[in-house]
Amino acid sequence: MILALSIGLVVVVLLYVLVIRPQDLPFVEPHSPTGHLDERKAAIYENLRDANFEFLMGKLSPDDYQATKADLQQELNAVNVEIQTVASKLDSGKAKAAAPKSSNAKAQAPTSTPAVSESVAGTQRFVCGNCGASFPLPLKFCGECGSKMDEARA
Amino acid sequence: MNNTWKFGLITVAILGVILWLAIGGIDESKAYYKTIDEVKAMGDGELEKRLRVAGDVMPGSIVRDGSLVRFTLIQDDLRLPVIYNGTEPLPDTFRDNAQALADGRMATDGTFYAKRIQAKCASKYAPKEAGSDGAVSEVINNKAS
Amino acid sequence: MENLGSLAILFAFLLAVFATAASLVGGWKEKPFLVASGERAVYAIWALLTLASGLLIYALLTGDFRLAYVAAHSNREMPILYKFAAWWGGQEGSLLFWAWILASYSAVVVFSNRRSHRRIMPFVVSVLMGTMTFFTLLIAFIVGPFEVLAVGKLVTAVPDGNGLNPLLQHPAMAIHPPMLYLGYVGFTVPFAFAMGSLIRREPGEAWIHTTRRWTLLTWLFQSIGILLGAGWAYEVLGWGGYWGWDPVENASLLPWITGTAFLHSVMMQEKKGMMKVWNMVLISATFLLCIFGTFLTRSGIVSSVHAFAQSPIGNYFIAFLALAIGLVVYLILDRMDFLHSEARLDSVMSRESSFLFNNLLLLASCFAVLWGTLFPVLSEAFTGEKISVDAPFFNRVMVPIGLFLLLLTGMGPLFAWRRTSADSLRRNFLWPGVAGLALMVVLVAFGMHHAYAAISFGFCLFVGIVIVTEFVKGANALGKRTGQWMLPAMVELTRRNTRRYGGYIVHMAIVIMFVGFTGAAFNKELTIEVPMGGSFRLGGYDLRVREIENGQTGNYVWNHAKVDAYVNGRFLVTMEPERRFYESSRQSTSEVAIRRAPLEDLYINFAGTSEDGQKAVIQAYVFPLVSWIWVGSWMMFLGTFVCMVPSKVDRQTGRTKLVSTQIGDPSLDLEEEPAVRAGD
Repeated sequence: MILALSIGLVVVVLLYVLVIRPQDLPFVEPHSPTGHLDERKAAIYENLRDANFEFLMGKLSPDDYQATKADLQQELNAVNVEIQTVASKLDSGKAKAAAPKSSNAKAQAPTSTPAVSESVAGTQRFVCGNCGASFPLPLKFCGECGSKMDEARA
Repeated sequence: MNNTWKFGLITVAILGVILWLAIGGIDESKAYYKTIDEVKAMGDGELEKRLRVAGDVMPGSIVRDGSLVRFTLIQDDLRLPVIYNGTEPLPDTFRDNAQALADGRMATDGTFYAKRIQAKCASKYAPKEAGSDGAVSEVINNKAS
Repeated sequence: MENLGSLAILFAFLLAVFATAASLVGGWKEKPFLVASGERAVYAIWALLTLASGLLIYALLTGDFRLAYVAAHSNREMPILYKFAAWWGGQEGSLLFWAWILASYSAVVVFSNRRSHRRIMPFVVSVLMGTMTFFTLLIAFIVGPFEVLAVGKLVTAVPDGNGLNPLLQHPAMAIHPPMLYLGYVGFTVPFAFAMGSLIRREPGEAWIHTTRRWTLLTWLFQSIGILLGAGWAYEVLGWGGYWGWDPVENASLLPWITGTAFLHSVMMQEKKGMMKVWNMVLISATFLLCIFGTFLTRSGIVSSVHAFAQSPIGNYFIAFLALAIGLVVYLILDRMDFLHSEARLDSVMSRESSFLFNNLLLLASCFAVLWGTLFPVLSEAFTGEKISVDAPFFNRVMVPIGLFLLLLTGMGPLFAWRRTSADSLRRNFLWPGVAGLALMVVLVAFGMHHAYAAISFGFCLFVGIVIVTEFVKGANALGKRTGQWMLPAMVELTRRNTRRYGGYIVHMAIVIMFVGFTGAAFNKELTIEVPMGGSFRLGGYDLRVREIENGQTGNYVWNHAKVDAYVNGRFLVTMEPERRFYESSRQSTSEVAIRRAPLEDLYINFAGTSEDGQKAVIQAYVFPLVSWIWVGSWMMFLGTFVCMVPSKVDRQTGRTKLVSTQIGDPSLDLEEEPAVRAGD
């Protein structure tokens, strides 16, 4: 009895762990090559808002506030430049990849799978059905109007 | 560079103060672990040292004498008379056969004056206590996998 | 049945090895099937360990005394709660419990990240499962929970088990260990994410965002565990202390300290991309100290009032720790370029530097505690003499550090990020600083000769005012914009930035707890033998021993004293401290009587009767302000919960992400518009 149970347990677990069908692989959200830069940018915006709020609270003197704000805006510019560099690199990489036998697309766009880099770097746009804004990434919600996007592509 | 110096200086100052406190604290509260035979072998020069002596409480040796408590610690065949004159109440786990840790100083007459007593409570990870349930401990000693 | 349990554990061990390797190779070579198989192994391990735990609990509840573990940690008369608690009551069971929590955490991590963080997840899984391999190794081969009692080759049973120590049969003690374990184990997850992103050289701070709430929850569990232990010690042990600097207490405090430092310094990384190496070191140290704490409580290398068996698993822990430290150090050194800081310190007078010094002090205190805890081991290794240090050492070092930390708690919010001009400093520091100093002067003038206590009260007032000011000023600024009144504006403020204002609530709780700790400087105590009807005086109380009563219940014999307390001749309360003697374990315990009040607790322990039986031995204590510690604890839990609630901003979608707390200054709103389309 115990023996049968044990064997059954082992077999079931082994089957579960080892037999994986292709459709069992999880859908992978596309990886954005500029994701970490966008994060940094969001952080800088937050710092700006914080500084502004502390100024309104009366904790920061006007001079301090202006100086801090100027610094942050400078940082913001630097990040924006970096994002553009990455984006233009991607575009040129994509162009080369489109040409047959060009191999350095993957090296320039360090993404998890080739399929993903295609959707990111490609000319495909993801358009919001509500307001018509378009994005280079498939979003769950529109970045403009906030309505739900159903991965409609144009 | 200027900033680095400032941070360095403040850091060194803070760490220095803490180190100074720590060294002072160790001198103030250090206690030497000794076994009963080491205590017996100690010279008179070491009477100043604060000691911690571990042993088993000899059954039947606990005698309350006013605010003092007398008992005897045993380790193998060696015995050490102890007088507890601390202010804290003795722990509930302090009883015959318990493993006790006496914290205090030796007197010239060979008696140990303890300021504090810790008794090992038979806690979660404690070994089986001999005597509490002889049958169980014997069987457990023979356990097979 | 025990065979099935052992099999499940053994199989879990094999799967853990498989999952570690499969995820590592799968992540490295980008083989999605191998990665998926590794993740399924995580679920399978959880199922297997749940099965094993279920079997052990079943054996404990039904009293299957053929099992050595059941015989040693349970008996027939124990209430169900404690039979269940015996799951983590002993060495083998608690290791199984550890592994089971880790398996549960891992399963949650794998499930909730099945679509996200795919680049680092394989490495996260392999770090989690590497740890799992170690713990399942212990319970599969070294200290198996399913060993049966046997004489020769014959399996036998004993009629009844030893049961749990009566001191530990207390509700707080039933939940104190699992809380600590939840904390100990939980730090494995942020550590795994940190290592995952380090191995992968993943740019950005994703691992911090993902594990932020996780770290907070873990930290909360650990705080609850530590405070429950303190509360239990106060109520049960009969000497009125809540913290004794015992090695095991220290072991639980160490990762809590580094975890606290980590919670603060990640803000620097999130906001400014600084201190990346430092955060890696901190989270690794926290994880390692959790393992170290588990090791310290099991191996018996330091003696402690919590008694521990000398056990064979110590060396395995040392090997695992050495291996883990080696790997972490290698990874951090090898990937130093990836961890370079994106900003530098602008000024000593800045929020950044207050975080820095906060970390420095926390780390210093962690070292001091570690040093003191390991002093017997270190001194024996270097001088051959085993020397221990105790409470005076810790108090002497930790009290100043604690006070300085308290001061920084108040100063931090007053500094601005980057730099603070003298003008801003004057605006912020003037009134709180004056109030704090004034309180110190007044206290000293009115005869408080305890320097640390006066300083502590002054600092508490300073920090308290600063925090309240933060709320008031913030609510004012927000209210101007939204037209809300003060209180609704405060709530709105907190909802918009739960983390900051939740953090302030926790800081306030710390202030309240410090008030409670400071009260200990004015403790009064008296041990006295009193005849029936006799009275004595302690503090403002006149205490009269009325009588001693005896009785017996099924489990124990009791006698308790009735002590009437009077203040200024007015009757206050009758206290009934009790002594119990448990027949089965031949152990006596005392049930102290405590009269709790906001300003001071009256605490009476009935230590027994004198030799002639005519007098009661009474230990009476007055503990000022102790209740503040427990009030502070509750507030701390509340504050941490607030921190874990997502900010209102995050909950909304799309562009509202940018609305956040900003108000006024329309130039900011305008600047933000392009941000949304930045990817174009």
